[in-house]
Amino acid sequence: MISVFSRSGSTRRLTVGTLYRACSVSFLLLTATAGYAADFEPELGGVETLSEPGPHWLITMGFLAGAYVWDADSGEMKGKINISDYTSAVGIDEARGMIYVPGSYYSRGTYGERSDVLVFNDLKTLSAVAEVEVPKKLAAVFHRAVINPVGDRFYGLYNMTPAMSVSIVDVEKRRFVEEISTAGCAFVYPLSGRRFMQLCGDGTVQVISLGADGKESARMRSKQFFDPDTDPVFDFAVANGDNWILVSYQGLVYEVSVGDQISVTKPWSILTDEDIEEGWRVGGSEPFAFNAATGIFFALTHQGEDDTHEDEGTHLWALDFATQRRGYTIELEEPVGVIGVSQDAQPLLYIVGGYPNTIEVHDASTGRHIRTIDEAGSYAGHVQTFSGGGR
Amino acid sequence: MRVTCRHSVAEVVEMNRFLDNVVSRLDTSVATGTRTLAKQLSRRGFLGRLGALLVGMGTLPLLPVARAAESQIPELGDPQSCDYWRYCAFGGNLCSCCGGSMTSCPPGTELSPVTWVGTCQNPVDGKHYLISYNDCCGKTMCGRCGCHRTEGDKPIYYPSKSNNILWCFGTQSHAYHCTVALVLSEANGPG
Repeated sequence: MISVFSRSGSTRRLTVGTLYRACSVSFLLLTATAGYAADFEPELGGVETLSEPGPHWLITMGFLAGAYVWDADSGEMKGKINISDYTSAVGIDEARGMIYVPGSYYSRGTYGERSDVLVFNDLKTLSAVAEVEVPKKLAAVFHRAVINPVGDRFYGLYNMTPAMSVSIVDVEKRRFVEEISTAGCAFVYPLSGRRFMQLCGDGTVQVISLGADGKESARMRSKQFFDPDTDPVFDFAVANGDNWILVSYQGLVYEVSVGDQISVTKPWSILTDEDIEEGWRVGGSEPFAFNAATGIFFALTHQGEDDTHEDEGTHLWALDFATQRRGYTIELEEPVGVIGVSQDAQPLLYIVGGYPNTIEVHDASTGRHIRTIDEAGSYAGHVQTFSGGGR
Repeated sequence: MRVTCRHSVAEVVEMNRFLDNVVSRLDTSVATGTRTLAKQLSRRGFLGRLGALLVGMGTLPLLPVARAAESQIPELGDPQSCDYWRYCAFGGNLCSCCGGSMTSCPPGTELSPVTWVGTCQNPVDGKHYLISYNDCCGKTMCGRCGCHRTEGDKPIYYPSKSNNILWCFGTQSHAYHCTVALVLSEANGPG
């Protein structure tokens, strides 16, 4: 591997193969241009690598649309990650410098032998460097919480066949550990320690703990705290430190904390009586975001009837989570279904929508618009943010 | 309109657990010893049998049988329109725009035996019907007549009523192409 400096001063890496090809092209160019510009120095092609991610980096990902890496500070696209047609989310492991991509593949594209793998992508090169085969059960549900860390060494991958289970992968040893049956409960929402939380169809949450070997060591279940028939919580939860914030279709906010027992706070409503009277509702595919450093909670809202929980938001509301009061409102030019917020103390808010996508970047504290990132993929299923924690 | 289930939450959870348990045992069985059998019997075979067993027990709203396209109820409207009454909890591409019909898959695709369900009101006779939404699988997405309606739709952790799941289970390939809407029975009104 050779490093050279281009005229712009950026470092580029050249492999032997690249150098050989570059020399061959150079020879041809020199031959072809002989007599025209003898002193012209042909440019050498190269391949960029990623710099250290910052807290305002994000990934947008959509159904059959790939995964794009962005820097919201510059508004520039940093690269694209290969994913399978069925990949719903990726795992960002900044400490190990990896992005984990769960994917299902067929030997003939849409048919043939199926294989499900967790692909390890180097965060500098965005190239696959390893893979671990997992049971052919990866859920194709296009949801953020199908992959998440469980402790500092394991990752949980949500399966659905439609039987529900979670595959555990040891990313340190790069091996599959075991499949844990999670009947009636979905997703992997990470908790401190080697634990993760799940949402269950009976109106409860479940917490599963892993031992040091990555195998299930304990599980517990909350009491029923919501009615899945009359007012289910959205399956999209947002983290508040080690707690998880859940919001119901009717706008009730629950916060789940897990110690020796599972505790759920008494719910409060995003919507005031006046809001309800005016027909306001929360809705979207990823309609909530929370920045713990500032305590600001964001929700997409619209005016509509029952069963409009997936309607895209016409407005974004920013609430102070502690006082439960609304700070500012953004009236959106076009309805959107996906928002995200960086997790640092000077947070940026990402409002993603349209076809093709645009990412509207706002100062999360003031709501002030900063920039628009155009042509941000064909359709955004969700946003994932980096912590900027470094490697 | 709200989709109803004729079972309590506890019953549904119990059903799901039972389903999970049975499928999990089948999976384990296949994984640990019956590799030859697994090659001969696709997952569709397993799930089809399982679905028949459970429907026979009268416990599951997952109805795995495709049936003749002849409609036995009055129909009025355009099956290529998302507004059509059967599509009240639909999510995906309408097969009637993709070389199939509202009850049959396009050529070369495979009907998923496992489905999500909705309860829709037929405007002609005013009755409510239980609708099974079966994905047609094995080809890339049709891409025509996209339709997403959420009457009675539930979150993914409540799968029998969630249209945000790729329901190509038990098929040779889970590549999604389009979805059909089959009337299964008359329902006892909205819930």
